[in-house]
Amino acid sequence: MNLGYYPGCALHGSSDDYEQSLRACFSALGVELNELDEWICCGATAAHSLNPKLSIALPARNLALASQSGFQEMLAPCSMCSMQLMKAQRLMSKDTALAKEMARIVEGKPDGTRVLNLIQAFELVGLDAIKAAVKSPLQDLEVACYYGCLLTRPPEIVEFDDCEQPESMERIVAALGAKPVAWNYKTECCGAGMTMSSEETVLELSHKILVDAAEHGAKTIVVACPMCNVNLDMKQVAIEARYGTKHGMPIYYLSDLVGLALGLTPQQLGLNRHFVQGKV
Amino acid sequence: MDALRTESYRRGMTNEKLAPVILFQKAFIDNIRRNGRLDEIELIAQFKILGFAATRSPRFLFKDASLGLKLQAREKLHLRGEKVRDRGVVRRIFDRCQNGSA
Repeated sequence: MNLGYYPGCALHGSSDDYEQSLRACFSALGVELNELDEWICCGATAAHSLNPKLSIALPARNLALASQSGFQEMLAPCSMCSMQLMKAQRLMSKDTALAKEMARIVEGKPDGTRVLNLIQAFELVGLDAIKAAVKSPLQDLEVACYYGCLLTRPPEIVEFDDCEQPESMERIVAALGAKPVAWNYKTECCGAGMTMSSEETVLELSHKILVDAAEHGAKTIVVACPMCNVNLDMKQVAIEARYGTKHGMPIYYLSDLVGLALGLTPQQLGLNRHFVQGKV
Repeated sequence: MDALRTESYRRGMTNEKLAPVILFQKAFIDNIRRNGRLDEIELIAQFKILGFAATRSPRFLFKDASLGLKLQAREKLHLRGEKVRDRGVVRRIFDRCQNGSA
């Protein structure tokens, strides 16, 4: 299977361990990721906070490139990127004047490609196919599946799973032999892109997520977004210092857990590059 | 919420406490305009310099310095960021959205 691939800036920056994990994992599942040539930033929070037109145009440019490349589906493994791409697509599909204006602004016609978040890409491969490929079951590993704000919201844009009580990631980790826990913070915000500009916000929100996961028996948290990983993994030491506690909670990308269950090594998946080390 | 945020920014009525967030977002947008993709080192440098100029706070300037070493140890620090080949189209998109040019 071939799948279009929009990495986004984080996966070609300090979250390139996520790309390492994705590529290893999808390759093991027989999926080739074809990177979108000349992709540009989706604009992230900055564009939709400062300039609404730009926040549609930047994703629209990528959608036009994807369409020109003949991509039927395109994986955007950052939940900010996938939401921004889906949002631009949704707004243009409802407003032909906007679609026409965007085609002029971005010098291309942005239509025809279905954008997938990471969970949807695994669903496209198929739960049965993933289950059949498992070589090293995760042996009842207690996992808190963390969706953050953007994988399921805004629901009218992403149209994915239940926006408050999603279960799609739980179905995938259960297929790997892991045991998803029921917990309260699976769709709470981690502070997203405020890691540097408002550290205190990130520390407070992410601390609550780590506490709730542990209180509900999780031995690890699994994410499908580079920003969630940065705030829960990279900032964990700062959270511990701020709140005088020890979390020691390993954070995995969903592709890490799938890859481990498929028999890939931690090194192949880049787990040695995480801040909090754990043992699955 | 986006509409209120954009309007408060347009009118210069943003919360003082959130000044670093606005500064970061402006530096982010400038970065994308120049490169097409985010250059993390360039963004952080710009954010820190602008923030220091506004606050004169050495703590603000050096607060995250140790993080660079930790990222480097994990091969997560990329000294040269990526740029798209066709930066002209990126600039034209920005001009059309920010200035309304054809």
